[in-house]
Amino acid sequence: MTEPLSSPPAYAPHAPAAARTSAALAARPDLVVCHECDAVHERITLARGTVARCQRCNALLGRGHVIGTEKLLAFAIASLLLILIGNSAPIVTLDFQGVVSQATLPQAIEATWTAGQPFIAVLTAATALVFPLVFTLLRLYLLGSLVRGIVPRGFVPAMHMLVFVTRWGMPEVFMLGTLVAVVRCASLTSATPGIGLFAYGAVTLLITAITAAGTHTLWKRSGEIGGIA
Amino acid sequence: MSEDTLGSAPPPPEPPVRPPTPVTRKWHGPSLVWLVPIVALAVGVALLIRAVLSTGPQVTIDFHSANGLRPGKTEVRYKEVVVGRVEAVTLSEKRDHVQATVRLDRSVSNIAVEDTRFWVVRPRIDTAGVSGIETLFSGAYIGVDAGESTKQKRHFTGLENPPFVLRGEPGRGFVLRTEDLGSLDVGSPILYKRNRVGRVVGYNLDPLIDELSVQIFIEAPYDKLVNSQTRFWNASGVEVSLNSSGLKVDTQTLASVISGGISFERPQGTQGLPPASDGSRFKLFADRKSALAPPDGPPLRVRMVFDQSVRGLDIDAPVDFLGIEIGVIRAIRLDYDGKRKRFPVEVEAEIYPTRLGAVRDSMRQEGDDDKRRDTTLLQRLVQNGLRAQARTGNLLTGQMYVALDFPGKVQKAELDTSTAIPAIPTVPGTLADVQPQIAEIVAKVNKVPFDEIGRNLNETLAQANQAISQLRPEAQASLAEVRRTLQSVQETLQRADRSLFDPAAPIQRNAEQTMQDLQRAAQSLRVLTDYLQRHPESLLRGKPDDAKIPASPERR
Repeated sequence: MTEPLSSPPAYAPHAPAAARTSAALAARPDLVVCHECDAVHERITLARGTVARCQRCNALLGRGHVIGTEKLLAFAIASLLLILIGNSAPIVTLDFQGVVSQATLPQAIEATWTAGQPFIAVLTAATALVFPLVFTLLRLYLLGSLVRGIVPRGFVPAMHMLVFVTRWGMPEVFMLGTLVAVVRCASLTSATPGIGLFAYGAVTLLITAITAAGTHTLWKRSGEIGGIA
Repeated sequence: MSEDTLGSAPPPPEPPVRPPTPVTRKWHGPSLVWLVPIVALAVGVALLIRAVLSTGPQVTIDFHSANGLRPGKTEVRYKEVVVGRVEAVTLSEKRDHVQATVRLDRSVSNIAVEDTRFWVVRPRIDTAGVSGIETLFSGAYIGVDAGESTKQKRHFTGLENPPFVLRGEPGRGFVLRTEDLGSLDVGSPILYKRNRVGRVVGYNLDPLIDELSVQIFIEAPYDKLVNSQTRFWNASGVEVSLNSSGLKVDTQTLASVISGGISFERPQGTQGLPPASDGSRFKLFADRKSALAPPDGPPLRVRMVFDQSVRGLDIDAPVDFLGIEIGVIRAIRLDYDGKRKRFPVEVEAEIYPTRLGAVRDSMRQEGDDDKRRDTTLLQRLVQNGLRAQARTGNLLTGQMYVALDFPGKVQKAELDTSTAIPAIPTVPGTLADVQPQIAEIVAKVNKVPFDEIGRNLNETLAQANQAISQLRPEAQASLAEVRRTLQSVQETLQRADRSLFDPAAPIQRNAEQTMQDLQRAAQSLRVLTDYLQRHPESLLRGKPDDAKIPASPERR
């Protein structure tokens, strides 16, 4: 259900400098710019379950979401707790003829490193551990301030960083990989999924939910509060 | 609803009424979504509490090497149940041992007491068998033998080898004294009727009395077989005896042939005695024969001076009295007799008067001490004509023994008690004896009246001629008979010869082949044990490929 926000105004931007754009946007919190084609639309309040798309290029502009700022904060806190559990509890326990072997995620990364696969280890550490953690912490930082009615310091670079880590954090890929490995190992040894794996499953769901809410809510909220630090 | 439709006429249309607006009430509390982090927190806290509750005490154990110990992996098992895990392995300050930090489960926290023993279970192959084979798969683990003390302890010194007797294992330990360990080793079996009932658990040499103590453990219920009269002997190897009853090969189990073993038996008539107490001491005999022989009592040392060559007489050769072995030769010394310009040989022997049995009891007089009474007994025997004589015991090998006998015509002599060791008078040996006898024979031959005999012979022959001519037919018949008999005897002998003494005879060949096979089996067994000791992993993986020969470097 696509609903045009407004017709593109006559003063559509003619490729101004990025700094000028953000300054202009800060000055006009009632406007929203398509991040695909830079068409400027009026910001409207979306009903629950509706989606706003650009009139010109049909790019997604916003989503009328169930999850509000406060709920996002709750999810972020839960996500942080689960990441802590998931990194301290064993992911999987392998029992091969009495050789019991269990490892937490950091131990698994360390083992991959010492096994002579430093590239894989770094990749795993970044996508499964560092980026989701940074994502959650950034969300906590931003949401924590916004809920209290303050636009946090460094809001814009934090938001840019958030987009980056959202793109590169992929705990769901890690989850899938681990599940496949556990199923494959189960035929050779007895593999018992540990608490860490369940925690990571929950983290994956939470981060997916948070990501689905998008960053528009944050922009909007900061706009409502007014004034980007 | 169904009642409404029963009516024949449709109900009149109701005037439109605005539905009542629902009562809205704002939820002032926090959103339900906050349950999500709360649940996550609860899970985290629960995990933390469980971790804290299940961890028991931390102990440190010193080992010589960290071989097989991996932090986080190596388990501590008590009766094969995992009761803890190695957390860290560090080198000691002096670098002479390693220290394993072990976290025990809370359920067994009372295991960390003073007399608890720890050791590393690794695959081990020795003469007592293969042990810890399961660790080839699972890696080494630390075994525990829980102590009974109530005194807590946090720092232990690990054993290098598994303890041979676990606490609470039913059975009893005994100590055997021996002068020679033979092929016995820790783990060698204790056999009763060739059945393994225990094992050697240790041995140590006492340098003061130059004697070995062998500690053995006999498992219940067999420990009841040991009473105060039980005899133990070294059952290592193969015992081959050749005597008048034939060749006898006696072996214990194959394991004891390879690794040594101890056998025990209760002498006849002692089965009813109560079992010996734990830790009793016994003598370990060299073989079954000496173990089951009646006790000898203290030996009596005697000397014998021979005026002849004693070639063939060895230390440990027997001394026998009318065919009964009553002692052994202990020393042979050459002496010089200046007066007679001769080299007498002084032979020293130990004789066991108790072996005389009833003779000793009946002939002994009352006296002050045993040794003195035995000397008096010997004195009386010598007065009655007892002499020592070196005799050839085996014509093939020329081995000799000393016989104490009453040769009959001898000059009167006394037991020489002038020195500490009494000397028994001797008579020349059998060979030396022959010379005067031959001289006697020659003298007698000289006295024979050959002329007279010749004359008489002539007459006799004439008479015989006459008689034979009369007897000829009968004689011929008997002679033919005799020849036939001889022939058949010869045939029988030949057959016997072929079947028994021919090197190609089946009995001979079988025996020879069996011995060869036995030898080969022993050889290959030795190769196998050597190989397994060096490559225990080959039990699982098979023999590794041969190392590749490096290509010879090119010459320029």
